Amino acid sequence: MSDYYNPQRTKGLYSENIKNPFKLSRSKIELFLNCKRCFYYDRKLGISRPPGFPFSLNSAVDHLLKLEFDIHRANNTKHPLIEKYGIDARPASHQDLDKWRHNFTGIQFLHKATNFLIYGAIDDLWQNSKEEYIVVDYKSTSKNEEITDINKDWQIGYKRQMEIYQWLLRQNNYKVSNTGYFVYCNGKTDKKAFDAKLEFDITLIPYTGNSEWVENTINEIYNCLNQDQIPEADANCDYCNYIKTINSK
Amino acid sequence: MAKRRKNIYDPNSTNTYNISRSKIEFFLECPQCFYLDRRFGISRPDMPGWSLNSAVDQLLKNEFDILRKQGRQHKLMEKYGINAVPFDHPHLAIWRDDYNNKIGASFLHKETNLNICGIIDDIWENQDTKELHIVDYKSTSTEYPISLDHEYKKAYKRQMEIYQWIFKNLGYPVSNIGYFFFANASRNKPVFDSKLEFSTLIIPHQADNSWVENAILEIKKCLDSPQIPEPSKTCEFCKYRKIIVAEKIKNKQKFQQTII
Repeated sequence: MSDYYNPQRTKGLYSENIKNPFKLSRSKIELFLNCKRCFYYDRKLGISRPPGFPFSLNSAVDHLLKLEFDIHRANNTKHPLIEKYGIDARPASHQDLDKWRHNFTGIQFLHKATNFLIYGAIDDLWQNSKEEYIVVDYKSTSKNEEITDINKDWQIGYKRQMEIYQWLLRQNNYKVSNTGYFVYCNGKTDKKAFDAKLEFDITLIPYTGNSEWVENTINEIYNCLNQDQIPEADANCDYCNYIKTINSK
Repeated sequence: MAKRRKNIYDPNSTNTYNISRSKIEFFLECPQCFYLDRRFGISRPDMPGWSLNSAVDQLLKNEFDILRKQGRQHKLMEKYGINAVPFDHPHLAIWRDDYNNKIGASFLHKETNLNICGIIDDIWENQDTKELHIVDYKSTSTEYPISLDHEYKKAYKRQMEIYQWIFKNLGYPVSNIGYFFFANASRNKPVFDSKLEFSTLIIPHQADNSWVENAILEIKKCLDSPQIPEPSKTCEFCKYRKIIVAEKIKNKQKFQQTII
């Protein structure tokens, strides 16, 4: 693992003097909202939290769902899941969709006041009969209860994720529905045998986004990066509490 | 994340102390992180769980349990020429931790008073030799051929070797050959169709568990030491902490200077 971890990066860091736009991903915005100190370490001082192992099965689900919705996109048909839930939507075609789905590019917007290039990669894009775009995100897990909402405390990150994507599309002058969808896949463990497959129950969970916070957060991030003092840690930050506890030893 | 109060090692206590196979791995990965965790209750931050991998494990258990009841060989064992059946034993539920007691199979190492424990996935009984093969299920999704050659797979091997060590010491006739049952989810299908489909394969591992005894003695020494041990050179968490502390000091100095 250590071969991949560089405890202090020197490239891609924020500095007051840079002329080029500073790239800021939606996951780094999420990091800022979780802990300003960790964000500052990461984006200004180049110190990232140690990475975990990749979630290869979840990423396989994402990949296959994309292929599946792409078929309906190409044929301009409704996916059975959309039919089942009676939703006014169909997978949308857009010449930039591949780019928007790609991790390193995503949908981008240059926020002029801060010179930040904000970006985030979407899983899918649908469109309703009013020609509004609908942001769609795929999630996969395995739990015993039916998944019908995203209202657990820790899922606030999912909501913000959706809201940033909606905001990014709007900044690019697209008409976007406030309602986005999570395609939530729940792996079933109550079968008699594995039989070389993991089957999922899929629920479609609507979420009405409100992106009002985004602009303000970007400005806060700007102020944070332009200060010389390391900001306060979030009281609930596992990483900062971990470091603090050890240093008291 | 608050400091843990339970399961903290006390050098003055005469009670038996549990050391799981993952804690042995943790010690080998970094003695300092291990010490902070076991002596002071300071754990590394939690990572999100591997729920899809756990789901595959559960389904594989269900599948092998049917064969266990019937005393039958799995078709993949047949394909690989492994003449074995899933081992049926009254303690299997404990060893697999079906009731979530977080202990599994365990053996008390008298010399150190450490209770070495590990939760296994499965055991197969060789029909020719009546020896037991330790089995571990692994699931992933990769385009690369699956093997045990990568550096990080050394931990897989050690995992199996610890399980074998436990069962040998419990007096079971354990084969040095253990099996990894791999399930690799395919990305090469046209649609999701509400399921991941896996190719499955078995990789044998000719295990050498001669290192385990020594590791347990080292762990005991570490736990009893009044001094926090040095970190391992490759420990990401220790590097991370060290750099943060250095930056904090720099930052503090800078601000004191500006104020003056």
